[in-house]
Amino acid sequence: MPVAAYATLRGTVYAGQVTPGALVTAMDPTGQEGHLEGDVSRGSIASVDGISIQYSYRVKLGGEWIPREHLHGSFEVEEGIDSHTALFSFGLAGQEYSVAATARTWTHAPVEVWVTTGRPGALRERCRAAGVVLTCEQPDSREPVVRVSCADDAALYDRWELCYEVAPGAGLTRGEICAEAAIDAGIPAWDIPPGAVYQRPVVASSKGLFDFLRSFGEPEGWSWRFRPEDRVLEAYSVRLRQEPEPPDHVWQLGDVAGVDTTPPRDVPSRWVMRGTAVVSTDEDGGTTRTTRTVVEGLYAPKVCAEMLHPDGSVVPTSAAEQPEAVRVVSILEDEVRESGGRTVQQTTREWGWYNPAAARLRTPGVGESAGPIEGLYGCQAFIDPDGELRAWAREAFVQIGERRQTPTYDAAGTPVRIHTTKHAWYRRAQAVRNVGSEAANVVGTGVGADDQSYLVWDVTLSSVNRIEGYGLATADDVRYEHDPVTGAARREIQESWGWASPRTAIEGVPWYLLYSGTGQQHQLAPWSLRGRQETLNLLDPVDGHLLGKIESEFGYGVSKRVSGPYDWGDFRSNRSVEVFALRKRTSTQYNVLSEDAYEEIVEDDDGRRTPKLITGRAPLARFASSAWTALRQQPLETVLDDATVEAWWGFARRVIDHEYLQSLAEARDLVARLRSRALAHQHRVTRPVTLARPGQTVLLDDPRSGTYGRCLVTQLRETWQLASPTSVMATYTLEQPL
Amino acid sequence: MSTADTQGARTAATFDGYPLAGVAADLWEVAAAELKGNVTMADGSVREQRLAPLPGLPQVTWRHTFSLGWAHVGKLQRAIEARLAFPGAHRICFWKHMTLGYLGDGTTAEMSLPAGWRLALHVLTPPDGLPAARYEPEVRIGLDSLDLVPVSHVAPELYASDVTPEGEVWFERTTGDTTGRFRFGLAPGVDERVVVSVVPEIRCLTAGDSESRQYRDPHREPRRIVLVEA
Repeated sequence: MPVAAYATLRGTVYAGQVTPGALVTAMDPTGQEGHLEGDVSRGSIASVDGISIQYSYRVKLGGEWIPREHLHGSFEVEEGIDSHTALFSFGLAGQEYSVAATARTWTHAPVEVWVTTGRPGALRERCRAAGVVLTCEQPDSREPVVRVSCADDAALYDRWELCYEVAPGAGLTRGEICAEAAIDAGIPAWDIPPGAVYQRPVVASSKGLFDFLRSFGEPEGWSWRFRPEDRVLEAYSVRLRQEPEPPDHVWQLGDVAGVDTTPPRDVPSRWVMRGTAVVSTDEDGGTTRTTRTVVEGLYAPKVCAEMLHPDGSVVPTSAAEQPEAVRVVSILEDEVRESGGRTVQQTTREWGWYNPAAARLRTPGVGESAGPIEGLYGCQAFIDPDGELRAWAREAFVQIGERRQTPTYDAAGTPVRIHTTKHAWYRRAQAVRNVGSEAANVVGTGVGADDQSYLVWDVTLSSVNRIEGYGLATADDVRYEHDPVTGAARREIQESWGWASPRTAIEGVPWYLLYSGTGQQHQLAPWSLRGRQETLNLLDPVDGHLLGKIESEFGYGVSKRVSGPYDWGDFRSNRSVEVFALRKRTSTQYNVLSEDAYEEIVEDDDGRRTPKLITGRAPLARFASSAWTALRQQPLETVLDDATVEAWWGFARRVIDHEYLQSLAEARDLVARLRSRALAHQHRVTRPVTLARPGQTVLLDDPRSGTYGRCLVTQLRETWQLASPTSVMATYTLEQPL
Repeated sequence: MSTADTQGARTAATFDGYPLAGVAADLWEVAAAELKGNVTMADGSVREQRLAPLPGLPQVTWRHTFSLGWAHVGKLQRAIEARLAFPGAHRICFWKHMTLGYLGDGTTAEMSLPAGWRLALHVLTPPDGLPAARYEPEVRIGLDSLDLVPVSHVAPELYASDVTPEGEVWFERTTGDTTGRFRFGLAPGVDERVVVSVVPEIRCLTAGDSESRQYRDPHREPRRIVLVEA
C-alpha cells in the first residue's frame, strides 16, 4: 500500500484492548495539515510478543468442540505464497476418533482451529486455520491416536475443472474474471482486487480452478488463500514494501531463536518471457493495400485486315498487321481498403487488349427512309481475324473490367450486406420497331452479328455503329439475416441487377419488337432488378447447426398456354408481358449419419426427393462475427540479460511462455519479480510464533552475520506443542532480494 | 491458622481414603512439572511459553508426580496392595496446602481447582485426630494481602441456587468425581491476583514403572508407590 499521507497521531494506546488497533476518528478535512486522532491498540501484537506468553488452541471438528484432554501432540500449520492451500494437522486421542468409529476424522468434515495467545490476563483468541479434514493417520497404539490432516477451503474446490470463457475485449478486469471463475466453481465469497482490464480472450475449459487463478493472477503479482477468519477467497499482492513504507515486522536477535541462511545459486542470466498481445486497430485511420499484377508475353494485337461496307461488300483495309512481340498482355489491380481491421471496399480492375463490337445493320435515322435490308441499312464494320465485326481498326489496350465489392457491417462487425458492382463492356438490348409497325421506327438501334438489336453507343467514320459500351454492367446485392440466439445466418437474399427489359407478346400489345422478333416492354432495356434468390436456412435452435435449407428463385417469366390470347412467337400465353415472380423452390435436408458422413435430400418443385450420401461433415451456415473472429493477436517477447549473474554463475537461459500476459509492460514486470525472487538470500528463521503471514515484509536485523534488510515472507510452518515442555515455534522462510 | 501448620511431612498421606499411618515412609516426594517451555533467543535472552489456562483455572498448570517409598511397608501392605490391585483413578492426599494463583478479570466470579482436585476436607477426615480447621482453604486477593476472604462450604444444591454474599467465597462441597470449584460474592477485578491455598485430594494414576522392589532383607517388605496426576 503506498503512503498517501504523513500525519501525527495523538491518542492513548491500550495494551490490553482486545479489539484490533484502529483509528476511530477520520481525518479532519478542514485542517491545513493532516490531523488524525484515534485509539491504537497493540493488543494483537502484544498477544504474541513478550517474555512470558501463554498459548493454547482448541479444535472444532464436525461442528463440535473437542475436549482439551482429547487433543494429543502438536497442532501444525503450513502456508506460503506459492501455494493456494494452507495445510494443518493435529492429533486426537480416544476411541471415538478411531477411523472405525467415525468418519469425521478422514472425510471432508468441517474443522476449525482457534488459537489463544497472550500475556496472563490478556489472552486473545483467533481462528488460525479453518477448512475441511483431508485424511488421518492412525498408527498402532494402546488407545486410538489419530493424526488428522486438514486443509483450508481450497480443498473443496481443488479438483474443480472450469468450464468458462471470456470473449476478447469484454472489458472485464482480471479481478472480475477471477471472480467469475470463482462463481463458476461455486465459491460463495471472495476478496479480489480489480487489477488491469484484460483485453485478451480467456478459454479455461477443463482447467483446474486454482491452476487458472494462480497463472492468471501471476502478472498482477497475486497469491491466493482462503482467509481463516471469514472463509473468503482472497487474492493478495505479494510485494516487498520499500522505503518510505514501514515494514510489517522488525525482527532482531532478541526476537529470533535462529537464522539459517542460504544464498542464491545457479540463477539464470537471461530471462525470456513470451506471451501474446491483442493488436488494437484504429477505427478512424484506414489502410489501402493495392496489388498490381502485370502480365507480359508474346502477343500481337488483333488488326482488322478487312472492312464490311454498307452494301455488304468486304474490302481490305490499309491497317498493317502487328508483329508478335513481348508486350503487356494484361494488368490486374486489386485494391483493398481496410479500416479498423475490416475490409471496407475491395476493387479489382483489369486492363487488356479489346475491340468493341460493331453492328452490321442499323435502323434508319430521323427523316431517313426505310433501308434496303428489311427496312434497315447496312453498316461499316471492321472484321477481325476471327470474323467478328469490330468498331475499331485494331485492338486497343483499355480497361476491360472492374469489380467493386462493398460490405456493410452491423455494430458487432458482422457483414450484413455485400454490394458488388461490375463494370465491363456490355450491350443494351434496344428494339427496332413498335409492335404492329412495319417500319423500323426506333432510331439508333444496331443489329449485331448475333442477330440481336442493341443500342448504338456511337457512330464513327461514316457508319461504324458501336454496340458495346464500357460502364456499369451488372450489380449484385447479398444480404444476410442472422439468428439472434445462435448467430447463424438465417436468411440470405441475393438480388441481381442489370440492363434488361421484360419480354412481351409480339401482337396486340403497346410495346416493342427486337430485331430477332422477340417482344420487349421497353424500347431500350432499363437498369432493373433481374432476379432474386432467397435461401432460408433451417437451423438447430440451440447450436445453429444447419438442418436444411429452402432456396427460392425469383425472376421474370411467363407461363405458356396453348390457347392463350397472346402470341409470343413460339408459344401462346394468358399474359402479355413477363412478371416478376417465384420461379423455382428447392428444399434440402441434411441428415447427419456419423461424424464424417451425412445424407443430403433435395426436394424440388415437383416433389421429387433426391437423396445422396456425402462423405464429410454437414455444411454450416455463415455465422455472425464476434469479438472472437475479429480478434487479432501478435506474439510478444521480452528479454532480460543480467551481466552480473552471468559473471557469477555463467550463462543460463530460462524461457517462460506465459498464457495470460497481455502486454510487454506486464512481461517486464513479471520477469523482474521472478528474477528478484530467484536472486535472493533465503533465511530460515526459527522463532516463537508471530502474526507474520506470507506476503508480508520483515526487516531482519542480525548483527552476528551482518544481515540487515527487508525480506519477503514466502513460507511459514508453525508448530504448537502444548505438553511439557510447551513449545510454540515457527519457521519462517524469508527472501531477501540482493 | 496458617500454612505453617501443614509444613513438613508430619502427617501421613491418605491413599484412596486409607490413611497410610503407622509405618513411616522413607521417601516422600512430590515432583511437579509445569506445562511450559523456555526458549533461548539468539541474543541469549530467554522467553517462556506457557499453557494458557482455561477461564477460571489457575495461571500455572502443574502436572504432579507423587512418590512414597517404604523400606518395609509393614502392616500397610494388605491395604496398599488391595487398592493397587485395581486400576485408577486413585486419589492421594498429603494433607498439605498447595497454593494456586488466579487472575481476576472483573467478570469471572466462579473459579475451579485444577482438574481432578477436590478439597480433602469434603471427602476425608484428617488423620491422627487433627482438627479440620488447620486444613481449611485460605483465599486472599492480592499477593501479600493479610486479609483472608471468609470461606464457607456449601452443599451443591445451595451452591447452585443461592447467591454468595459479597466479600465471601463459597466452596461447593464436592461429591463423587467432581472437580472442586468456588465462587466469590463479587468477581475479582481486572488483573487482581487471587491466591488460593487448599489441601487437595488429587486424582492420580500409578506410574507405569512404579512396581520395582529390591528385597535386600528377608524380613522386610519394600514398597514404592509412584503416582502421576491424571
